[in-house]
Amino acid sequence: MDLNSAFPLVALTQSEVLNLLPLFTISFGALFSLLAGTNKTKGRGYAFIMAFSFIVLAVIQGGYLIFSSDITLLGGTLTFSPFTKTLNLMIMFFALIGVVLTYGQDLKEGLLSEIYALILFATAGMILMVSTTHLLFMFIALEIMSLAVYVMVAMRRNSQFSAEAGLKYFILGGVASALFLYGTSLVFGALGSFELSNLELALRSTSQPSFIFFVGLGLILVAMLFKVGAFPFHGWLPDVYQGAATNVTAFMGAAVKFTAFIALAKIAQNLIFIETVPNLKWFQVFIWLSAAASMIYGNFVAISQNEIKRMLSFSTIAHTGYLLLGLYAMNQSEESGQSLVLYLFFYALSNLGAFAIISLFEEKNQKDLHIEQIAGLGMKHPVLGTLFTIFLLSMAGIPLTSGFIGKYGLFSSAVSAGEIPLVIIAVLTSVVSVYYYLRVIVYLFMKEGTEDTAIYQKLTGASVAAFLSAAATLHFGLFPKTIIHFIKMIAK
Amino acid sequence: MTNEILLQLLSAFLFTMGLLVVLLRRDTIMILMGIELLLNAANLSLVAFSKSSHMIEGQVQVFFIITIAAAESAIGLSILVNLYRNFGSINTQSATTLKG
Repeated sequence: MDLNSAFPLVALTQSEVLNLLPLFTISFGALFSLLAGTNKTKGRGYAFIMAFSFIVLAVIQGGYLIFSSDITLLGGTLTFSPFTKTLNLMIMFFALIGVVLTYGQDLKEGLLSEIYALILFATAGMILMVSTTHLLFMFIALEIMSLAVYVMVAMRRNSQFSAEAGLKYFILGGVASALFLYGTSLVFGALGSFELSNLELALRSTSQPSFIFFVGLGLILVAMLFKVGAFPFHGWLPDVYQGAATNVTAFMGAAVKFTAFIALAKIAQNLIFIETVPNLKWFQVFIWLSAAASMIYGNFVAISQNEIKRMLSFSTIAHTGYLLLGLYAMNQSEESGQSLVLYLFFYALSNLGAFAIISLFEEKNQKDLHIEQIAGLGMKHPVLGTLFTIFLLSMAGIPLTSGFIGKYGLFSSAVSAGEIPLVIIAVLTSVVSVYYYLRVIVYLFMKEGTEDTAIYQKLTGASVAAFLSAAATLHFGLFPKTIIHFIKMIAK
Repeated sequence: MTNEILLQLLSAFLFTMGLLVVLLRRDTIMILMGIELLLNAANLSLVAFSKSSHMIEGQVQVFFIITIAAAESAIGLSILVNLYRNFGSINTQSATTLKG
């Protein structure tokens, strides 16, 4: 076979280079940050400055390029449309907050200077993952992201909790990736393509795809539900969130969840929500059950938790349930796709902020912040207490915070799609969730401090990150119109 | 039975073995090998499918997957070293500090 006809080498055009620029910037930023981190005494500071400046540059580039023309690269494998560029911009914003949050925390927890480079590598993987529609490319992007995150989780080298969390995440994440890969291979064998749009076309033209396809799709669905931490596959999530250093937990809870969910939504839309194939009904039912179970399990288990990080990780499972509700509603209406993205964005912001505040009060190698330890903190540090309250209220979905806007949009689009039973479960369980969020606030402001009360750790980075996320949470909560219109316009 | 079906059956068998190793063994080195087996079973299946459907796509992707598997085992081993330094053992049962 003539090599040049099988793999034609085409030079990138100017618009393609422009659209890839943020990705290049982030990748080079990671390399420069690695290099800067080699300095023996000031490595962490230099690595931070490198990572920070490159990611700011990438955000600026991404913002400028958002309305530039759509391009597809590598024969349709990578698509940069305004919608994916907006998702990329959101991910870069999470990475920016993640980098800022790590500054100061790295010295306290003994994280190496390479953590900044790892954040950027993971970000590059995430950008590829939300931009691609090719299943194997998605697997590679998933691995680029996950491999960086495994190391970040295990990076507190002198902490038993971190070592254990890293091991659990690595083993279970590795199995999930392998399931995804094998599923992809089976889907390829059954329908003869890796491209999601081609697969959808092939599915629409046949009502009875072969048995192999359903096995493959099942494996892919299990792997993706695992990555987002939905109910039957949530086992790793509390342990990993608790054992990782708090800044890593914040980054995981925001950016990794965002990316995995977008990928799951893409797969579901192209392979699962197809009316012409009757047997796909069972997969839809499975998503329904998983959504309901995640909401119920996450919220009810979170009530009995006394450790704040663990409680927030169970509430993450509950939020995954709400997001799966939005995903399920995408079956009926396109609009819930937009509210899904908004909810993910708002939730990720308040998640980043809440973990930033926790990291401000944790000592070195501490396992978790016990609820008794935050008694009276709100009176002692009124500003931080108020910020923490804002984040918790946003997660609970109380008006004036962005969480309310997200939840309202998600539930109302699900109602208009006709998913009434699931919405009822969601509303009832989110009433339950208000209890454990408010419990933390009560401890913050209405209990007397004891000698166990946590000590403020004076970390500049985490404070700045908390202020940034609080500003964003309040801004989108008070003036949601701009971003809602923006997402609607972009989605067209 | 044709070769293609035999190859698919072999890869399914290898995949099941890998899953069983990961689920049943307590030794983390064995678990790591199980994950490698999973990835390689998927590789075999990809190559067989792309050979039978005359598409080079799947075979090319296998090179990427081999690279990723190598990176994954490197990270896995370093996590094991970290586990050993903290717990003095690489048995999964020794690492049980996080519960609740």
